[in-house]
Amino acid sequence: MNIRFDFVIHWLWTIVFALLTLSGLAMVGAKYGWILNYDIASADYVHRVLAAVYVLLTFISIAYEVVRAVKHEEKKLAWFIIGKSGYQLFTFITTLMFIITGAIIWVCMDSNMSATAFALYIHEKLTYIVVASVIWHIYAKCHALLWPKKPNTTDKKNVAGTK
Amino acid sequence: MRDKKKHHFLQLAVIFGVITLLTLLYAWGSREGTMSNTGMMGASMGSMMQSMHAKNITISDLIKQQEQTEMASGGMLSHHEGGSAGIKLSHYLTTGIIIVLLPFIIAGAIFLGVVWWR
Amino acid sequence: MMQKRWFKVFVWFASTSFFFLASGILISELGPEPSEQQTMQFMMGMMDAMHNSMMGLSMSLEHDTGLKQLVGTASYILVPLVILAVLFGLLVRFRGKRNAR
Repeated sequence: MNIRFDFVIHWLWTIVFALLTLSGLAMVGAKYGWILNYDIASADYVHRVLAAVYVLLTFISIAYEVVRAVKHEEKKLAWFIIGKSGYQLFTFITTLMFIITGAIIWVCMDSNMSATAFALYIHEKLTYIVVASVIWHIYAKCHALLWPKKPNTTDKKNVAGTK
Repeated sequence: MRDKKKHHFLQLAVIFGVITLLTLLYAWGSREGTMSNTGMMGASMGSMMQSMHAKNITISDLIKQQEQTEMASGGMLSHHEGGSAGIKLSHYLTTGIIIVLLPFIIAGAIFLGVVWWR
Repeated sequence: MMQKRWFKVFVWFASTSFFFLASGILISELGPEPSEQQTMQFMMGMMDAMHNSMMGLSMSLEHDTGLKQLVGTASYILVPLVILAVLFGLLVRFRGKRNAR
Protein backbone atom coordinates (compact mmCIF):
# COMPACT_ATOMS: atom_id res chain seq x y z
CA MET A 1 0.00 0.00 0.00
CA ASN A 2 1.46 3.27 -1.10
CA ILE A 3 0.34 6.23 0.96
CA ARG A 4 1.46 9.57 -0.34
CA PHE A 5 2.83 12.41 1.76
CA ASP A 6 0.39 15.03 0.44
CA PHE A 7 -2.52 12.66 1.11
CA VAL A 8 -1.53 12.22 4.77
CA ILE A 9 -1.02 15.96 5.27
CA HIS A 10 -4.39 16.70 3.66
CA TRP A 11 -6.34 14.53 6.11
CA LEU A 12 -4.29 15.42 9.20
CA TRP A 13 -4.95 19.02 8.25
CA THR A 14 -8.66 18.33 7.91
CA ILE A 15 -8.87 16.85 11.40
CA VAL A 16 -6.86 19.64 13.02
CA PHE A 17 -8.79 22.34 11.20
CA ALA A 18 -12.17 20.90 12.12
CA LEU A 19 -11.21 20.70 15.81
CA LEU A 20 -9.70 24.19 15.72
CA THR A 21 -12.90 25.58 14.22
CA LEU A 22 -15.03 23.80 16.78
CA SER A 23 -13.03 25.05 19.76
CA GLY A 24 -12.60 28.48 18.23
CA LEU A 25 -16.29 28.99 17.52
CA ALA A 26 -17.15 28.28 21.14
CA MET A 27 -15.02 31.28 22.12
CA VAL A 28 -16.39 33.79 19.59
CA GLY A 29 -19.03 35.19 21.89
CA ALA A 30 -21.94 34.49 24.17
CA LYS A 31 -24.04 33.63 21.13
CA TYR A 32 -21.65 30.80 20.25
CA GLY A 33 -20.94 29.39 23.70
CA TRP A 34 -23.53 26.61 23.36
CA ILE A 35 -21.31 24.78 20.87
CA LEU A 36 -19.07 23.51 23.69
CA ASN A 37 -21.51 24.09 26.53
CA TYR A 38 -19.74 27.27 27.72
CA ASP A 39 -16.63 25.36 28.71
CA ILE A 40 -14.30 28.11 27.52
CA ALA A 41 -11.33 26.81 29.53
CA SER A 42 -11.22 23.50 27.65
CA ALA A 43 -11.92 25.24 24.37
CA ASP A 44 -9.03 27.62 24.97
CA TYR A 45 -6.69 24.78 25.92
CA VAL A 46 -7.59 22.65 22.91
CA HIS A 47 -7.44 25.66 20.59
CA ARG A 48 -3.95 26.62 21.73
CA VAL A 49 -2.46 23.13 21.66
CA LEU A 50 -3.93 22.40 18.24
CA ALA A 51 -2.76 25.80 17.01
CA ALA A 52 0.80 24.63 17.62
CA VAL A 53 0.09 21.44 15.65
CA TYR A 54 -1.48 23.52 12.88
CA VAL A 55 1.58 25.79 12.71
CA LEU A 56 3.84 22.74 12.69
CA LEU A 57 1.90 21.14 9.82
CA THR A 58 1.98 24.41 7.86
CA PHE A 59 5.71 24.70 8.43
CA ILE A 60 6.29 21.14 7.20
CA SER A 61 4.14 21.74 4.11
CA ILE A 62 5.86 25.01 3.25
CA ALA A 63 9.28 23.45 3.77
CA TYR A 64 8.25 20.58 1.50
CA GLU A 65 7.12 22.98 -1.21
CA VAL A 66 10.31 25.06 -0.86
CA VAL A 67 12.45 21.96 -1.37
CA ARG A 68 10.34 21.05 -4.41
CA ALA A 69 10.71 24.56 -5.81
CA VAL A 70 14.47 24.47 -5.39
CA LYS A 71 14.58 21.12 -7.20
CA HIS A 72 12.31 22.55 -9.96
CA GLU A 73 9.78 19.76 -9.54
CA GLU A 74 6.78 20.81 -11.58
CA LYS A 75 4.53 17.82 -10.87
CA LYS A 76 1.33 18.95 -9.19
CA LEU A 77 0.52 17.38 -5.84
CA ALA A 78 -3.17 16.63 -6.16
CA TRP A 79 -3.83 16.25 -2.44
CA PHE A 80 -1.61 19.00 -1.08
CA ILE A 81 -3.03 21.81 1.00
CA ILE A 82 -0.96 24.58 -0.52
CA GLY A 83 -0.18 25.25 -4.12
CA LYS A 84 0.08 27.92 -6.77
CA SER A 85 -3.48 28.01 -8.02
CA GLY A 86 -7.12 27.38 -7.26
CA TYR A 87 -8.30 26.19 -3.88
CA GLN A 88 -4.72 25.33 -2.88
CA LEU A 89 -3.72 28.98 -3.28
CA PHE A 90 -6.81 30.07 -1.34
CA THR A 91 -5.92 27.69 1.50
CA PHE A 92 -2.33 28.90 1.46
CA ILE A 93 -3.32 32.57 1.81
CA THR A 94 -6.05 32.02 4.40
CA THR A 95 -3.77 29.76 6.45
CA LEU A 96 -1.11 32.43 6.54
CA MET A 97 -3.72 34.98 7.62
CA PHE A 98 -5.01 32.63 10.34
CA ILE A 99 -1.52 32.00 11.67
CA ILE A 100 -0.38 35.62 11.60
CA THR A 101 -3.55 37.03 13.18
CA GLY A 102 -3.53 34.16 15.68
CA ALA A 103 0.04 34.93 16.68
CA ILE A 104 -0.86 38.61 17.06
CA ILE A 105 -3.72 37.66 19.37
CA TRP A 106 -1.45 35.32 21.29
CA VAL A 107 1.46 37.70 21.77
CA CYS A 108 -0.22 41.10 21.91
CA MET A 109 -3.04 40.22 24.29
CA ASP A 110 -1.01 41.69 27.12
CA SER A 111 0.54 44.67 25.40
CA ASN A 112 -1.38 46.05 22.42
CA MET A 113 -5.13 45.86 22.79
CA SER A 114 -6.09 47.57 19.54
CA ALA A 115 -3.90 45.18 17.55
CA THR A 116 -5.47 42.25 19.36
CA ALA A 117 -8.99 43.50 18.71
CA PHE A 118 -8.25 44.03 15.02
CA ALA A 119 -6.60 40.62 14.67
CA LEU A 120 -9.53 38.99 16.46
CA TYR A 121 -11.92 40.64 14.00
CA ILE A 122 -10.00 39.28 11.00
CA HIS A 123 -9.53 35.86 12.61
CA GLU A 124 -13.25 35.53 13.31
CA LYS A 125 -14.57 36.75 9.96
CA LEU A 126 -12.03 34.67 8.11
CA THR A 127 -13.35 31.60 9.91
CA TYR A 128 -16.81 32.13 8.42
CA ILE A 129 -15.40 32.59 4.93
CA VAL A 130 -13.17 29.53 5.20
CA VAL A 131 -15.89 27.27 6.61
CA ALA A 132 -18.13 28.32 3.72
CA SER A 133 -15.29 27.59 1.31
CA VAL A 134 -14.80 24.15 2.88
CA ILE A 135 -18.46 23.39 2.17
CA TRP A 136 -17.84 24.44 -1.40
CA HIS A 137 -14.74 22.25 -1.44
CA ILE A 138 -16.84 19.27 -0.31
CA TYR A 139 -19.30 20.08 -3.08
CA ALA A 140 -16.56 20.24 -5.70
CA LYS A 141 -14.99 16.99 -4.50
CA CYS A 142 -18.18 15.21 -3.53
CA HIS A 143 -17.32 12.12 -5.55
CA ALA A 144 -15.23 11.26 -2.46
CA LEU A 145 -18.53 10.67 -0.66
CA LEU A 146 -19.56 7.89 -3.03
CA TRP A 147 -19.39 4.46 -1.44
CA PRO A 148 -17.27 1.84 -3.18
CA LYS A 149 -19.53 -0.33 -5.27
CA LYS A 150 -17.54 -3.52 -5.08
CA PRO A 151 -16.10 -5.25 -2.03
CA ASN A 152 -12.51 -4.47 -1.10
CA THR A 153 -10.84 -7.42 -2.76
CA THR A 154 -11.84 -6.52 -6.30
CA ASP A 155 -11.28 -2.87 -5.52
CA LYS A 156 -7.58 -3.29 -4.99
CA LYS A 157 -7.26 -4.70 -8.47
CA ASN A 158 -9.11 -1.73 -9.89
CA VAL A 159 -6.83 0.78 -8.18
CA ALA A 160 -3.74 -1.11 -9.26
CA GLY A 161 -5.05 -1.22 -12.79
CA THR A 162 -5.79 2.49 -13.11
CA LYS A 163 -2.66 3.80 -11.38
CA MET B 1 -24.57 10.82 -13.89
CA ARG B 2 -23.79 14.26 -12.56
CA ASP B 3 -26.85 14.18 -10.34
CA LYS B 4 -25.78 10.87 -8.89
CA LYS B 5 -22.39 12.29 -7.99
CA LYS B 6 -23.84 15.30 -6.22
CA HIS B 7 -26.52 13.24 -4.56
CA HIS B 8 -24.67 12.66 -1.29
CA PHE B 9 -23.72 16.30 -1.01
CA LEU B 10 -27.32 17.36 -1.53
CA GLN B 11 -28.37 14.82 1.07
CA LEU B 12 -26.05 16.35 3.65
CA ALA B 13 -26.99 19.88 2.66
CA VAL B 14 -30.72 19.22 2.93
CA ILE B 15 -30.44 17.39 6.26
CA PHE B 16 -28.33 20.09 7.83
CA GLY B 17 -30.42 22.82 6.27
CA VAL B 18 -33.53 21.36 7.88
CA ILE B 19 -31.75 20.93 11.23
CA THR B 20 -30.54 24.53 11.10
CA LEU B 21 -33.98 25.84 10.24
CA LEU B 22 -35.72 23.85 12.95
CA THR B 23 -33.16 24.90 15.57
CA LEU B 24 -33.49 28.54 14.55
CA LEU B 25 -37.27 28.34 14.73
CA TYR B 26 -37.07 26.66 18.13
CA ALA B 27 -34.56 29.24 19.41
CA TRP B 28 -36.72 32.15 18.28
CA GLY B 29 -39.83 30.46 19.58
CA SER B 30 -38.45 29.76 23.04
CA ARG B 31 -37.03 33.24 23.21
CA GLU B 32 -40.49 34.79 23.53
CA GLY B 33 -40.88 33.18 26.93
CA THR B 34 -37.56 34.29 28.30
CA MET B 35 -38.09 37.80 27.00
CA SER B 36 -41.16 38.38 29.13
CA ASN B 37 -39.33 36.89 32.08
CA THR B 38 -36.43 39.28 31.80
CA GLY B 39 -38.86 42.13 31.46
CA MET B 40 -40.37 41.20 34.82
CA MET B 41 -37.05 40.72 36.52
CA GLY B 42 -36.29 44.37 36.17
CA ALA B 43 -32.96 45.51 37.51
CA SER B 44 -31.50 42.14 38.38
CA MET B 45 -27.85 41.24 38.05
CA GLY B 46 -28.53 39.57 34.72
CA SER B 47 -30.18 42.47 33.00
CA MET B 48 -27.57 44.79 34.41
CA MET B 49 -24.96 42.66 32.68
CA GLN B 50 -26.97 42.75 29.50
CA SER B 51 -27.26 46.51 29.47
CA MET B 52 -23.57 46.83 30.28
CA HIS B 53 -22.45 44.58 27.49
CA ALA B 54 -25.03 45.71 24.97
CA LYS B 55 -26.28 42.53 23.29
CA ASN B 56 -23.90 41.72 20.45
CA ILE B 57 -21.02 40.64 22.60
CA THR B 58 -17.93 39.34 20.85
CA ILE B 59 -14.50 38.56 22.19
CA SER B 60 -13.12 41.86 20.99
CA ASP B 61 -15.57 43.63 23.25
CA LEU B 62 -14.47 41.43 26.09
CA ILE B 63 -10.88 42.30 25.49
CA LYS B 64 -11.59 46.01 25.45
CA GLN B 65 -13.48 45.63 28.68
CA GLN B 66 -10.53 43.80 30.12
CA GLU B 67 -8.17 46.57 29.20
CA GLN B 68 -10.28 49.16 30.95
CA THR B 69 -10.50 47.17 34.13
CA GLU B 70 -6.83 46.38 34.02
CA MET B 71 -5.87 49.97 33.47
CA ALA B 72 -8.21 51.03 36.21
CA SER B 73 -6.60 48.71 38.71
CA GLY B 74 -3.12 49.60 37.51
CA GLY B 75 -2.10 46.35 35.87
CA MET B 76 -2.67 43.45 38.14
CA LEU B 77 0.12 40.93 37.98
CA SER B 78 -0.68 38.02 40.18
CA HIS B 79 -4.26 37.81 38.98
CA HIS B 80 -3.46 35.74 35.93
CA GLU B 81 -0.76 33.61 37.50
CA GLY B 82 -3.03 30.62 38.01
CA GLY B 83 -2.60 27.24 36.43
CA SER B 84 -0.81 24.01 37.22
CA ALA B 85 2.64 22.91 36.09
CA GLY B 86 1.24 20.91 33.17
CA ILE B 87 -0.58 23.91 31.78
CA LYS B 88 2.52 26.03 32.21
CA LEU B 89 4.61 23.48 30.36
CA SER B 90 2.19 23.25 27.44
CA HIS B 91 1.98 27.02 27.38
CA TYR B 92 5.76 27.32 27.00
CA LEU B 93 5.82 24.52 24.44
CA THR B 94 3.03 25.84 22.23
CA THR B 95 4.11 29.46 22.47
CA GLY B 96 7.69 28.43 21.71
CA ILE B 97 6.67 26.39 18.65
CA ILE B 98 4.50 29.16 17.26
CA ILE B 99 6.93 31.99 17.87
CA VAL B 100 9.97 30.12 16.57
CA LEU B 101 8.26 28.77 13.44
CA LEU B 102 6.43 31.96 12.50
CA PRO B 103 9.43 33.78 10.93
CA PHE B 104 10.31 30.68 8.94
CA ILE B 105 6.73 30.28 7.76
CA ILE B 106 6.56 33.90 6.65
CA ALA B 107 9.95 33.67 4.92
CA GLY B 108 8.97 30.40 3.24
CA ALA B 109 5.68 31.86 2.08
CA ILE B 110 7.45 34.89 0.61
CA PHE B 111 9.93 32.58 -1.10
CA LEU B 112 7.11 30.56 -2.64
CA GLY B 113 5.36 33.80 -3.61
CA VAL B 114 8.45 34.93 -5.49
CA VAL B 115 8.95 31.56 -7.17
CA TRP B 116 5.29 30.99 -8.06
CA TRP B 117 4.48 34.49 -9.25
CA ARG B 118 2.58 34.05 -12.55
CA MET C 1 -6.76 4.15 0.14
CA MET C 2 -9.75 6.23 -0.90
CA GLN C 3 -11.65 3.03 -1.66
CA LYS C 4 -11.24 1.54 1.80
CA ARG C 5 -14.47 1.24 3.65
CA TRP C 6 -13.23 2.62 6.98
CA PHE C 7 -11.71 5.55 5.17
CA LYS C 8 -15.02 6.33 3.51
CA VAL C 9 -16.58 6.41 6.95
CA PHE C 10 -13.91 8.86 8.03
CA VAL C 11 -14.47 11.06 4.97
CA TRP C 12 -18.18 11.08 5.71
CA PHE C 13 -17.50 11.94 9.34
CA ALA C 14 -15.21 14.82 8.36
CA SER C 15 -17.72 16.20 5.83
CA THR C 16 -20.54 15.93 8.33
CA SER C 17 -18.52 17.72 10.98
CA PHE C 18 -17.91 20.61 8.60
CA PHE C 19 -21.60 20.75 7.82
CA PHE C 20 -22.23 20.82 11.56
CA LEU C 21 -19.78 23.71 11.96
CA ALA C 22 -21.42 25.64 9.15
CA SER C 23 -24.89 25.16 10.57
CA GLY C 24 -23.51 26.07 14.01
CA ILE C 25 -22.33 29.39 12.60
CA LEU C 26 -25.67 29.98 10.89
CA ILE C 27 -27.66 29.14 14.01
CA SER C 28 -25.51 31.40 16.18
CA GLU C 29 -25.48 34.29 13.73
CA LEU C 30 -29.15 34.24 12.80
CA GLY C 31 -30.45 33.17 16.18
CA PRO C 32 -31.78 35.44 18.88
CA GLU C 33 -29.51 37.58 21.04
CA PRO C 34 -27.99 35.66 23.93
CA SER C 35 -30.01 35.71 27.09
CA GLU C 36 -28.42 37.12 30.21
CA GLN C 37 -27.96 33.63 31.53
CA GLN C 38 -26.00 32.66 28.46
CA THR C 39 -23.92 35.81 28.69
CA MET C 40 -23.20 35.08 32.32
CA GLN C 41 -22.20 31.51 31.50
CA PHE C 42 -19.93 32.78 28.77
CA MET C 43 -18.28 35.29 31.08
CA MET C 44 -17.84 32.62 33.72
CA GLY C 45 -16.25 30.36 31.11
CA MET C 46 -13.89 33.16 30.12
CA MET C 47 -12.90 33.74 33.74
CA ASP C 48 -12.34 30.01 34.11
CA ALA C 49 -10.10 30.07 31.04
CA MET C 50 -8.05 32.87 32.59
CA HIS C 51 -7.42 30.80 35.67
CA ASN C 52 -7.36 27.21 34.49
CA SER C 53 -6.07 27.39 30.94
CA MET C 54 -3.29 29.02 28.98
CA MET C 55 -5.25 32.19 28.27
CA GLY C 56 -4.27 33.70 31.58
CA LEU C 57 -0.65 32.73 31.11
CA SER C 58 -0.50 34.32 27.67
CA MET C 59 -2.02 37.47 29.12
CA SER C 60 0.97 37.79 31.43
CA LEU C 61 3.43 37.30 28.59
CA GLU C 62 4.84 40.77 29.16
CA HIS C 63 6.15 39.71 32.54
CA ASP C 64 7.81 36.54 31.28
CA THR C 65 11.37 37.49 30.37
CA GLY C 66 12.22 34.17 28.71
CA LEU C 67 9.30 34.18 26.29
CA LYS C 68 9.65 37.91 25.78
CA GLN C 69 13.24 37.35 24.69
CA LEU C 70 12.05 34.65 22.31
CA VAL C 71 9.54 37.06 20.75
CA GLY C 72 12.33 39.61 20.42
CA THR C 73 14.66 37.10 18.76
CA ALA C 74 11.92 35.91 16.40
CA SER C 75 11.11 39.43 15.24
CA TYR C 76 14.84 40.17 15.03
CA ILE C 77 15.54 37.32 12.59
CA LEU C 78 12.35 37.96 10.59
CA VAL C 79 13.69 40.83 8.45
CA PRO C 80 16.95 39.16 7.37
CA LEU C 81 15.04 35.94 6.71
CA VAL C 82 12.54 37.73 4.49
CA ILE C 83 15.31 39.47 2.53
CA LEU C 84 17.10 36.14 2.17
CA ALA C 85 13.87 34.49 1.00
CA VAL C 86 13.30 37.14 -1.70
CA LEU C 87 16.87 36.91 -2.97
CA PHE C 88 16.85 33.12 -2.89
CA GLY C 89 13.47 33.02 -4.60
CA LEU C 90 14.68 35.30 -7.41
CA LEU C 91 17.76 33.11 -7.79
CA VAL C 92 15.66 29.95 -8.09
CA ARG C 93 13.34 31.60 -10.61
CA PHE C 94 16.20 32.87 -12.70
CA ARG C 95 17.89 29.49 -12.75
CA GLY C 96 14.64 27.78 -13.59
CA LYS C 97 14.07 30.06 -16.59
CA ARG C 98 17.60 29.53 -17.83
CA ASN C 99 17.23 25.78 -17.52
CA ALA C 100 13.98 25.86 -19.46
CA ARG C 101 15.56 27.63 -22.42
